[in-house]
Amino acid sequence: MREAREQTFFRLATLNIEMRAQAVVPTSDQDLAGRIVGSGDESAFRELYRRHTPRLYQFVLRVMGGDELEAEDVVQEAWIRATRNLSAFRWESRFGTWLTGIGLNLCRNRLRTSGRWTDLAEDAAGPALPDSREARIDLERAIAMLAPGHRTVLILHDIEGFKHAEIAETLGVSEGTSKSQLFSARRAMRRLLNPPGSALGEVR
Amino acid sequence: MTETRNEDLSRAEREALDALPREANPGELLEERTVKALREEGLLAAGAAPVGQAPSREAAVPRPWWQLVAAIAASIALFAGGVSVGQVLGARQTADAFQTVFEDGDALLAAQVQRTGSDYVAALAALAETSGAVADSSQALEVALTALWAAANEIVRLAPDDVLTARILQGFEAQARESSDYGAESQLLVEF
Repeated sequence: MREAREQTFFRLATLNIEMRAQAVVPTSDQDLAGRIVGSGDESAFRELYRRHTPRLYQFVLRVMGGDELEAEDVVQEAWIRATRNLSAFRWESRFGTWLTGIGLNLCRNRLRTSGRWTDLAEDAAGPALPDSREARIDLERAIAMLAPGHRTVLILHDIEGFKHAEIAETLGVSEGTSKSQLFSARRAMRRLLNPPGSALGEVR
Repeated sequence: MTETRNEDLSRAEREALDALPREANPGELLEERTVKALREEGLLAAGAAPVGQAPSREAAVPRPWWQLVAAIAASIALFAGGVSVGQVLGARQTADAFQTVFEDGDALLAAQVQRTGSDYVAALAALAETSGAVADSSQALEVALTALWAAANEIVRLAPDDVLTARILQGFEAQARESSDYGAESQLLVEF
């Protein structure tokens, strides 16, 4: 009698755990994408959007040098292009990585159209140094002040964690160019963070 | 990922970079703007409610299978009901139409009989005025009597108890007894 009661309790407890587990398992990106492609499911799109937009927006905002309006336009266009080409995405990479790539290309196009982007191999121009009255600036602002090419490589490598091979492929340059650009970007960043005559020599 | 990541960075630089936020929210307006643009491109189906509003019926979660089955059954029942009502109404209208045709047919036949009878009488009157020779007169009488006999035969079919028609036919029968040439036909008349 007691054993039967214990078994029943055990079964109920197991069932409860399984139900909780099912309840918290999120729908995969691929499932959401399938609903969007299959039936234009808006709720699926909103879920996918909310899952990936914060990271995409932060990335685009940095690459665009902190311009919020431009960053929003890029994010919107990135989602439109991604949704348009969703059926062709083969899921060999993560959805977020693919989306970031789309956002990056849009950023480059905008910067190139406005004359702010130059070929990375030629991008040797250093950043404008901050006013001498500002002894130090914060890291975010220093990154925003880098030349767009330097800034993009530094963000991809040092913040987003891309490898040089991936950066090279994404930007259409050699790995050597990616490495040299990163070296230049870091040096420029240090100059911004610790301008000559600054009393302190560390980032903050 | 770590290939050259830290090779040129001090610990403080690395920590500062790692401490940078990886996410930021652009705000709900951008989401609505994007959804609207996708709807306009036909990439999203219209119907879901914007953030902060109650979801519309179209945006509801998928319905369970039994609701779908019930909806299909209701659709079939509605269709079958419609067909049945249509058949009843159609049959009633058809019966009415037939009845109208038959009623109209009786009236038409009566009118036709009346016209033929009038023509018959008119023909007899014309015959009486124009026939001079005896031979012609007897031939005309023969034709007229044959027509009268045929008419009486048809009238007795319409009204078997009509006394006048019976007397006409009895007259023909009596005359037939006197003429052997006419006997076979009169026999048929009696049997009828």
